[in-house]
Amino acid sequence: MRSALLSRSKHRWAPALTLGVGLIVASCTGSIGGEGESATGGAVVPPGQVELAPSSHLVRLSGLQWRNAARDALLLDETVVADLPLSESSFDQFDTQAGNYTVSATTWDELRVGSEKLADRVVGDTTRLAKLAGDASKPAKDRALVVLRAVGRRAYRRPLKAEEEASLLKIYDATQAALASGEDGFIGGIRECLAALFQMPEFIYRSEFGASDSGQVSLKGHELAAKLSFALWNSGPSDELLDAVDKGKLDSAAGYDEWVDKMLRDPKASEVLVRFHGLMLGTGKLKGMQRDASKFPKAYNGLGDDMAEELTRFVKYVAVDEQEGGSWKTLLTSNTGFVNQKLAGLYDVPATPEMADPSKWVKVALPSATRSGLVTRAGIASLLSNGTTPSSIHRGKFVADHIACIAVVTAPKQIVVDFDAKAEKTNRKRVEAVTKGCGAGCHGNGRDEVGIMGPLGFAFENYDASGAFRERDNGEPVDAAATMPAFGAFANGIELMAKLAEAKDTHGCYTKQWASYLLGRVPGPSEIQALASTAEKSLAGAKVREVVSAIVRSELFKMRKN
Amino acid sequence: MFSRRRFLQGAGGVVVALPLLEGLAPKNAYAAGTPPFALFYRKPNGVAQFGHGQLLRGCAEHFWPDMPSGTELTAANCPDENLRGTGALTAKYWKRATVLKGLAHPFTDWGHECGVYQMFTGAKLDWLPQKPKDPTRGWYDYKLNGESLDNRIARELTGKEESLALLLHQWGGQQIPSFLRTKNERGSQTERQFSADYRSIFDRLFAGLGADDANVQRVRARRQSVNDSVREQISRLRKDTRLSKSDQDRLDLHFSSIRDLERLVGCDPSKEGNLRNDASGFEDRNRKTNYNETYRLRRDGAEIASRLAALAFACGVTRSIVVSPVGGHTDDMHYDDEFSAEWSGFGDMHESISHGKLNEDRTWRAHQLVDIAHFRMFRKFLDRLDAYDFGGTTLLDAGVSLFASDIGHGCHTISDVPYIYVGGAGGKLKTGLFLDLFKGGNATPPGQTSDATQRMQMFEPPVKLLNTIGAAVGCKNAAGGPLDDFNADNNGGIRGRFNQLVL
Repeated sequence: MRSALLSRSKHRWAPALTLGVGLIVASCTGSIGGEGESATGGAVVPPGQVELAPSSHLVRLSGLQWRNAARDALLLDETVVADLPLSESSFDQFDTQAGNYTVSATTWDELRVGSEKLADRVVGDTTRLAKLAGDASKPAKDRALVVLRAVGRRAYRRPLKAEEEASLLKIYDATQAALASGEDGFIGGIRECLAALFQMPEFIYRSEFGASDSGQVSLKGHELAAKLSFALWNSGPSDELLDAVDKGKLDSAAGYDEWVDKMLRDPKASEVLVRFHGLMLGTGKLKGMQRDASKFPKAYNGLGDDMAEELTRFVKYVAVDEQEGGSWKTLLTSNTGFVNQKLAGLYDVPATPEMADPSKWVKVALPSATRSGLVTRAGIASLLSNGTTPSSIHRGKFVADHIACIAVVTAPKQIVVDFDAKAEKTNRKRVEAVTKGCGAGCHGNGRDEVGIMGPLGFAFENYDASGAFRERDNGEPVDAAATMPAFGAFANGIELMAKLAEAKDTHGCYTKQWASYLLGRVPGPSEIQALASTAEKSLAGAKVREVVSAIVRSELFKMRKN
Repeated sequence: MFSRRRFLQGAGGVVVALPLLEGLAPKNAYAAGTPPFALFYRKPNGVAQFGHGQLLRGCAEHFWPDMPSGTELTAANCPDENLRGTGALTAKYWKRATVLKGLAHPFTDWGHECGVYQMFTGAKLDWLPQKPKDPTRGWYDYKLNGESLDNRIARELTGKEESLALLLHQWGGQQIPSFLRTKNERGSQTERQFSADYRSIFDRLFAGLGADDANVQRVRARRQSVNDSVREQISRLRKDTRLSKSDQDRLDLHFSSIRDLERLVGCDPSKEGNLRNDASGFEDRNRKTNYNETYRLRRDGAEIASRLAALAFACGVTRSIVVSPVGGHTDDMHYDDEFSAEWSGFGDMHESISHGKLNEDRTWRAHQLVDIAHFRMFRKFLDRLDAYDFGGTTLLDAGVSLFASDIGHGCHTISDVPYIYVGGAGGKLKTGLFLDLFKGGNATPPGQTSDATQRMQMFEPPVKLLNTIGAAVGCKNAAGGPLDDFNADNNGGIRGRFNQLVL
């Protein structure tokens, strides 16, 4: 028995696999570009005419941002902070969409424990402390103030105010009265102050107020630098960036652009470029995923982890290293792959001498007749399966949601269908049988019935639940052909990916998703229209970095609505 | 009985957090801002009742009080437990309880699972009748479409993924899929099980707080200093007139979260004696138990679990706990320890008794004895909560403790399912009241219909009580108002609370 369950959450479908017998199919309708708007917008919105969506004045850092910013404020290596807890409130797709994150008692407890651990690790290591503490010959409290000013500036993303310094020194003084026997006063005091810094609201929340109280206003100085830093680095500003702000270098468009370019070449930005795609594609769910080797001969222990690694390497190759054009188009169409010995077998790639070492990853050309772009990778195909059977509906929904931004809006009616009660032999025929007649623009078979999820999903019927290529399903030839008004006819996933790569809406969708990630919220209709020129650049082959750069240079990013 | 002040004191007599907590105390009388909580006690196998005429095998009424709906409950009208089982609450709690009759689960059909899945969810379940019995669970499988209220409270009010689910001992009947569901960050549901591993639970909840030595006091003092600074900064930010209402609400939550943690910092697990050691000892007994000891073990489990629950609520480390005496769907226990004289001849198998399989004249009495036994275990929790005296009110009054049975009677009926709560959730719920919510109609077989619509014309759905309790402890509906739509997406759109219970 098998089933796939699609459950509705607000306006989103949340795919989930269950142990039941049926497939719940929703009546639904579709439209391109989100609910009521175009993914790419129409005419380009002139500068100054973008209608911004209201947003929070206090943006709580995500768990990862909190950890990264604390790490960088304390000048620590990642290894020192890697074990700190990062449990996070639920988020739809991107963990940067933190505008509504709260500090619950659980979160507060984690922040407190994490802050105390960080402080312990700094004061417990003379090298780490020396990096912060400077001249040891100075009186202890003076020395403490030097540390707090430097760390506090990085933590608060601006120089500390006098009352903030006083507040920290009050903690320092209070600690002197509660020292353990033999405890050094400076060590004890600085430990408490550092622990306090990362629990402070000025650290936990990034403020966005702008230059005036009402209307659409520009962000300036430290606020803008902090927003840019968390967008591109997922961490707070460096000393160098803060120095530049203090000198007014970000006040001019040229100065700001120069910093955008510089920051995008930083390794921290590379992590963001990779991480964004992982969140967009949901590849984190591949970790630990298994497929039954008795049903899928090419499956093996560790397959899920390897597929996740392959996708990460591929995205880095294109988006970070800017190979083969370094664009979204490249990610949608390239057949360059990265395999180890075992994964090579799943992809039908001939073994090479380099692969003799099972831990070695090798760049290869995947068979061009069967693989082209992200959605044809084993990881995505396998992720969108229910364990033993490809989930055509999930695959179609995935492409609609994440690649083309074709909204599938649910209607209240739900139908429960038992797959195994159907006589049809192939996966596609079974899905067609249960989704038939749901309404134009919904599932559809992509032949005599216009649809969205049907044709977009059936195109990938050649990939089984383990991600391996197949030509037959249950003894019958695989049928991956379909037609859609937006894309015309396509024979399979390879052809569909090529059409998607050349579609304006696909690049509008990509731009919109990047904007969601960088802004920390879903852009509104006017904002999406303002991104049209960026989408056009992407369609023309702009590099991923150029897409990101265009968004953070736009009014959309540099302004806010109060 | 010990006072809130003494509870917050360390063994050395140093009051660390108390002045601050008093400064932050909310306006109501529930000392030091103990947030409303909910405890759910699940009784399997129904009760010995006639109810509204649903019984198949003939039984007089031995459970519900004999009084008109709307009667105020007083110490004087608490029934003799040997006549009406609800009297086992005793006069002490009777006047602080609300007894609700006339509730029925909306969704079909016979079977324990049908009741157990709905009792704290009120959600529709899909029965998979064509599926053979699951050999690992021994029963038919259902697909549940909703989360249980205890878990909803934990997720919404504490940000934790799961509530605390306590099993009263490890030995259990047939394992069925747990009726507890939780949601992950993607909104999909997972099943989870109860635990009688009290020692691990203690460690998880109170790690590092067992000792009250000078070092712990020093840590508390230092944290206090940090918290004061954080609070100052929140207060300063909060005054910024440019902030939206949403921003202000988030800062308020941040502020109260610090207070919640301070409560934990100020809480002293030693006030429950050496609970950790006792829990370890119980764990050893669990491993060695045999069938004839099950009731004794369960009763002792209730003793330790009640201490753990009271401490957890008092310290504010959880807002909801669900308690189940057994892991399975039935209640196959020896009760001869409790009722040795009267129990003679029944031996075991409460399920056989509750299902009327023994077909003896005394069967109803045996079933009633089991009801009384469960009330006694429930009372252990009430006693423990009531021992935390806040000066005029107790911890019991700060929360709501619900006693419920998954089915109405052992014969798989899901009508007249008993729901009785004690405590008014900090003055939010009416107590001291008997209500019969039956709307009329022929409930006798074949009135024991599987037609949900027909049944709902006669009975009220328990989910309205769940909404009432959820709202009382602070849960919100989709629009941000008091909860009135719990699992409404999964139960055919049943909404609303029992307003006659709301203060």
